[in-house]
Amino acid sequence: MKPESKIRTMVNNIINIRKRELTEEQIIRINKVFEREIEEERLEEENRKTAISNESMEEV
Amino acid sequence: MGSVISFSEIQDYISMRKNSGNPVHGVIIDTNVLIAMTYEIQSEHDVILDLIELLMEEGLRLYTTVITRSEFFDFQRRLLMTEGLLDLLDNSSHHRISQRASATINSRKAILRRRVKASRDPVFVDRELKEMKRSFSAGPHSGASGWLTLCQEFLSGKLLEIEEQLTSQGIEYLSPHHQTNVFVAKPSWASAIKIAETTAMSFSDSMILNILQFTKGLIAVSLDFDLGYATLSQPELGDVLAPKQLKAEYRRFHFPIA
Repeated sequence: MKPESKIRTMVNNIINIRKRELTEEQIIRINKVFEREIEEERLEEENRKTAISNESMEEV
Repeated sequence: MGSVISFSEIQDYISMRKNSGNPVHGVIIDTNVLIAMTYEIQSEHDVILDLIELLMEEGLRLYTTVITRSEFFDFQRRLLMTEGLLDLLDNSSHHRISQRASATINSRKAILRRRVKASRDPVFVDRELKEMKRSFSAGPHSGASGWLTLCQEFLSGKLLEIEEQLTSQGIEYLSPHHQTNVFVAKPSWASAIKIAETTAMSFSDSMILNILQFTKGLIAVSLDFDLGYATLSQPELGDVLAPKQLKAEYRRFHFPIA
């Protein structure tokens, strides 16, 4: 793998200077949002599979 | 002289200049390029980063001028303040702020949303920051944090760290007082004024082209419409590196010398 260039290191360092440290409460809140999104995606996928399976049953 | 080169043509252009005995050895970076390179949410971020990486691999030196450097720091100042002020609205912020200050930030937040929709940076402009400054007390008051404390937290030391990053990683500051070997003559106010007058371009842009025309072996890189437009109108200024779509757009304008 190619080593990171000088300019990319500089850009990452500048971006990191801007990044703020999150408080514990913010981290908990972000995690909750992630968990909710994952759960929504799971339900969506489940519904999609059920719909496909129902369609194939109808065709049969 | 007086050409606009698209990003994808840069390697051929460098070879062509080398073979013609007039090699390119450096690039003056416009503020918009510096910002796109360091602000990861901009749509041009990856393209610019790849381009700058390529220029460095080609052995070109990267230069900023007093104008581009100060405009870049001004953007960073506004960005750091915008992000810090928006965080104050968060319930988990450790700062207490007055209702007036909170209402002012909240009302300006809607402007940022509109800016995002218009593909502009969600960053407060100076006028908005001044309005917010007026809604805070300078020092702590009635248990609420003052503006000076917030500046200390959001800005203090960070701009200097960014400056140190630029300098240590090879983004040089180009000045006729320091790099005398790069300049063929000293840029003058009269020439900067003439550049601005010819196409009605801003002085911050004309100052970049003013530096460019008095240097040898340099080109400028910009995402802005005006720099390429000016050099196509006044070929003696030098060559400008620009995105492909901008180069294509210039064909519509019937420049006297193409």
